[in-house]
Amino acid sequence: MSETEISTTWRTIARRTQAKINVAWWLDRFTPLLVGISVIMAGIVLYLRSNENSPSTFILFSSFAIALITLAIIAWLTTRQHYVRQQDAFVRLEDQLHLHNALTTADHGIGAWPPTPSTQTINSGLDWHWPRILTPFAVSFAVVTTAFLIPVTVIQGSSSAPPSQPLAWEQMEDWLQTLEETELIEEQALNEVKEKIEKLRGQPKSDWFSHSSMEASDSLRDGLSKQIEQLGSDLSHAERDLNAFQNFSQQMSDGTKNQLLQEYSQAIKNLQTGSLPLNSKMMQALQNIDPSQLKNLNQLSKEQMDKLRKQLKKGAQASKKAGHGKGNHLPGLKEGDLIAYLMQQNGNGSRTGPGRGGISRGPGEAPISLGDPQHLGTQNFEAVQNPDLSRAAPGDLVGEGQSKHDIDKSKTAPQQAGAVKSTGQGGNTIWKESLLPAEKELLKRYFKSPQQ
Amino acid sequence: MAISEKDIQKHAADIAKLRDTLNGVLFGQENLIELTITGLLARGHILLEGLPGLGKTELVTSLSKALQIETKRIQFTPDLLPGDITGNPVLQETPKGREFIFQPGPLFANLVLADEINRASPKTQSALLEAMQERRVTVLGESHELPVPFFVLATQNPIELEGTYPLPEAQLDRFLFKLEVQRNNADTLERIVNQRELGIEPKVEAVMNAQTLTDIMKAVREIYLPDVVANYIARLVDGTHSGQSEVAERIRFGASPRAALSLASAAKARALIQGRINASFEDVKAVAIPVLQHRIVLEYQTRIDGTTARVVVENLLSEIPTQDLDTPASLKEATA
Repeated sequence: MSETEISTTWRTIARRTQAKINVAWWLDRFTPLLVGISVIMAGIVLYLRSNENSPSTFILFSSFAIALITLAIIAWLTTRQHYVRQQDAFVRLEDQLHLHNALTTADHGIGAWPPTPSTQTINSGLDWHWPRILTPFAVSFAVVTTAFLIPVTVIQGSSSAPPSQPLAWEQMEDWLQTLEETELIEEQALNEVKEKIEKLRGQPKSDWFSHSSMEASDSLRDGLSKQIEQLGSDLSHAERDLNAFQNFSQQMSDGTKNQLLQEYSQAIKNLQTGSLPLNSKMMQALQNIDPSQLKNLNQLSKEQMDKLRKQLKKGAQASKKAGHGKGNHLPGLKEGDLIAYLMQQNGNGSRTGPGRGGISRGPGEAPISLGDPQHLGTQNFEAVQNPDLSRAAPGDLVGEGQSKHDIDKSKTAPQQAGAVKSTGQGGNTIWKESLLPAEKELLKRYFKSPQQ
Repeated sequence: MAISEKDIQKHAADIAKLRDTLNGVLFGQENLIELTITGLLARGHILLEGLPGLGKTELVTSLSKALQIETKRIQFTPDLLPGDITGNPVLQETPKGREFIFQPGPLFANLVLADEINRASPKTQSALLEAMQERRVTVLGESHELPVPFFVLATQNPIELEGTYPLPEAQLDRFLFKLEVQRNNADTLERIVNQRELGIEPKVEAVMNAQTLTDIMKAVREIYLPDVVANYIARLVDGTHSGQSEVAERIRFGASPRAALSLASAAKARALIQGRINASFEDVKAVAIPVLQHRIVLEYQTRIDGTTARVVVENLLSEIPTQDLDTPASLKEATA
């Protein structure tokens, strides 16, 4: 190997060592910046993803890439003073390879280059600190990936435009459209409501959101909501009654049948006279059924009956949908539970005593009151259950308890008569009395007795 | 480049011959001989410290024989006067009449052995040290050049301190090296017993003459001292001063700039002995202890603790890196 080749080889090795050290310096500065920008990027990604109009992933990645390049340049600029020269790399190598500064000397043109060692023996004495280098990259990757993958709830409406017309109008139009689709309601009734809405809309636009207009809109909407709710309830009752007569008439007592018959008649009457009456075709079909013959139900074939019920059910569901699920149409009861429900409500119709525990079997329903009839259980704890406390009216009794008086039994020194222990402030209750229910009752009786 | 690799190798071969010759005379003192030759080639004076009978005088005698240079030995005593070593003007009859003619003292030799230098009075020590520094003596206003080469190998006994005048720090600084002559081990003693006879001086072969020695000393000056090595020397010397290193906390007074020059010169001499054209970090490390250990003044507490200057210099060498570069945290020192 010629002197030039040896020189070239040593310079290549030195450049490699130089690059290794300089890259390490650059990494020392860049990796903390990388972690920092990744955390910031993750925050930005999460924020943007939680908004409706988030930019595309490409734009996000492009921004991230630009930020990384900028930081890389900053890291390079701020670590330049630490960067080693090729001469420093020579010194490092000759120190490690025990070359007695021969490389530095040869680099200055004095003396010969030392023979190049085999590749295996070339060692700058420095190894990469892999855990330290890779950990920031792994953390950054994990943070950014998590920001992209983590489920985020999109916050809506924050940037949406203000409504162009009162929301009540839109709601009512939606409801009317839903009712129209059922083709059960008299079209004239629906048109009347539409006319009212159009009348409101006919006002100057500047008055749409005036107080009076909003009042009128809300009033109209509430009225329509109640009408739809009533319609749904009536349809539901009618359908349920027909279902009961069709499928469970053999199992019902006469009292139950009468109860259902009354309910059916009332529902038909309501449907006929309500603000949202059924259309003539449907009404005709329902009126064709003779209420007096409903017990036997031999007027319509099973298919006709099913069709009628299906239409009623569809109407009830549409009403429910239009009324946002409001309504009193026993939504929790299945068809099979209907009879049991009615029997529970009416004590099997014909009798006032306990039922028989079913239609045709069993020894009968268990009595409501158990134990000694003379003992009314006034001394027992009894919790009043009100699972829906949001509907509790002010003054409703939520619970009742019995406990001992909270008496301060701590010993006190003799006190001067008339001395005021606690002066209290204006409005304070200076005498508090709490009595147990039994004591209150006794007190009441005591004061009442002279008058009586 | 004034010196070639070939010349370097030739000089290295001559020095190796000298070293082998001395090793054949003085057994078990290879390191002492190596450093003594290094000191001579660096144009330095050497202070030998050791117990009597360890071969200090024999080293000087053998050196003079091998180098074929004039050697004189001065036994320093408290009543020795400066004129006794430098020489005195003596009234003599000349054709012109009576004149004071300067009679050179024992200093006028190539190699002077100043035995037990700490027994002489400070005035005499001062005269010697002036001659060592300026390589000339001045008597009655007249300067007399000392011969070239001129070396002083002074000795002092580290245990018999009664009635001695310890050399002041400024004068110690004039010595390039302070070498401690170690006692021989049993094997070496056995070898000495077998091969030596009391009272009979061993035969020493002359391997060099004064001219060759002068040429080699000139060659030492031509040895290349890389900037990084010079920087290392500077940082080492600077590190002996308070606040410049952790070791310096145990040093009251650090080394002088002369110490840095001495280090550089000694490193060059060692490089030539090793047959290299350049001095290196290894050369500096090899000569750092003999160059620095007598140039630093330790703190009182450090001396009380029993820490010697040698240990402090060793710690300094461990603390000061050869390259003044930090290692990035992303890299670690290779384990193998």
